[in-house]
Amino acid sequence: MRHYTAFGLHIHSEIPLPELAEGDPHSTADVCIRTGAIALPPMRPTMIYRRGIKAFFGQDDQASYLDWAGVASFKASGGNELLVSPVAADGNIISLFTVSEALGLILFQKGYFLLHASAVVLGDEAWCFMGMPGAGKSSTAAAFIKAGCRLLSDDLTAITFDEAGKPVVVPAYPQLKIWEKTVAGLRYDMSALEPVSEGVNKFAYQPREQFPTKVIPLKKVFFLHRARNKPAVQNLNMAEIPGEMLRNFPLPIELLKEDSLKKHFFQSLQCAKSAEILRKRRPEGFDNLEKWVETSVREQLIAE
Amino acid sequence: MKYQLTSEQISSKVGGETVVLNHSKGAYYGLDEVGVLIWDTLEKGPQTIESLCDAVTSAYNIDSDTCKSDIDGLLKDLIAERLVEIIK
Repeated sequence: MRHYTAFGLHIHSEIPLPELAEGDPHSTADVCIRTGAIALPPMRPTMIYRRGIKAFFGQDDQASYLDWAGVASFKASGGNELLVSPVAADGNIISLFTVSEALGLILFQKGYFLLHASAVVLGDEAWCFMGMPGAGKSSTAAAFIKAGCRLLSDDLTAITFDEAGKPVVVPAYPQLKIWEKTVAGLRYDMSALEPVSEGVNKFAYQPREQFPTKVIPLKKVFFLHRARNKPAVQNLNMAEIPGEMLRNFPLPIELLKEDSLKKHFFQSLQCAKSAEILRKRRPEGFDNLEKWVETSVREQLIAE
Repeated sequence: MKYQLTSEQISSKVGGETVVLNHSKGAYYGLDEVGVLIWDTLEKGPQTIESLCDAVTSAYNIDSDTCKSDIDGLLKDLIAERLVEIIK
């Protein structure tokens, strides 16, 4: 058994998950990841792709299932058991698919509010970036990190609510994947980056030492876009917020039905009570991105 | 004839605004000021158009005929979206 921590959980795993932070071998497992055969229920195609492969999804009384042709299938049950049936031989690929949507199913079963987003810490605030692929989630996070902010999550962001009902972002794991052109554009030190198995032009920044261990209050959520005909920045209307959050739900949408959709609705608005929800045009070019980041960091430090 | 909220909707108030979800459709709605007043009144239980009109005319300076036709329009929209239904 290997021991990791991710999303505030102690994870005991039969397979190596090198992206995750090392965990305490004496901890009680919150989540167990095992390998074994999986009997899939009827599966339906989703809109989720990873490495160009479409995910298929299914559910029965006891579990949720994901199947990626040629890679692996997964069975998530009870918010604590993830069964992996690997097909691909490359352990790094299996790990990549395990710590993304499959682990997301477990987080969903645990009642976390999930977003397809990247998040960073500014002072004592969590800022979260969403948008269609190519809108610049990871590049924006990379620019904030270069300006001295800490990483909270990349791609999959998990939010819970504290005793006062305030939204907090749970630190995911210390990895941010960035495009080669972002590495160059933001003048990242290439020697500090690792190549990743997902796409040839991507690199991983792995801040293992400075990675936060505690939840951070969610204060800003940005829906990034590149549309010139929309204002540079605007607040979202309350009525738009649940729908926008739903569009950025990182798992198969079939999971949100009746009671779970109601819960998602209330959780969306619960975020909007404490955090500013903004639609923002991504600054054009890396220089402008860095200027916006510098200004934001400076203003946040003054406000503190 | 009375109007009531359907079982297909849920709503939440955030900072003075009311947001409504039709969870069988997965559609979201925002209400304007008068809409919120009507909605709050319907949340207390089934209402006639007269009782809804009373709630509005006591808060806004508007004659009851105009008020009734405005409310009638809003109720038609809410019924079309399956947020409100008619009971006998």
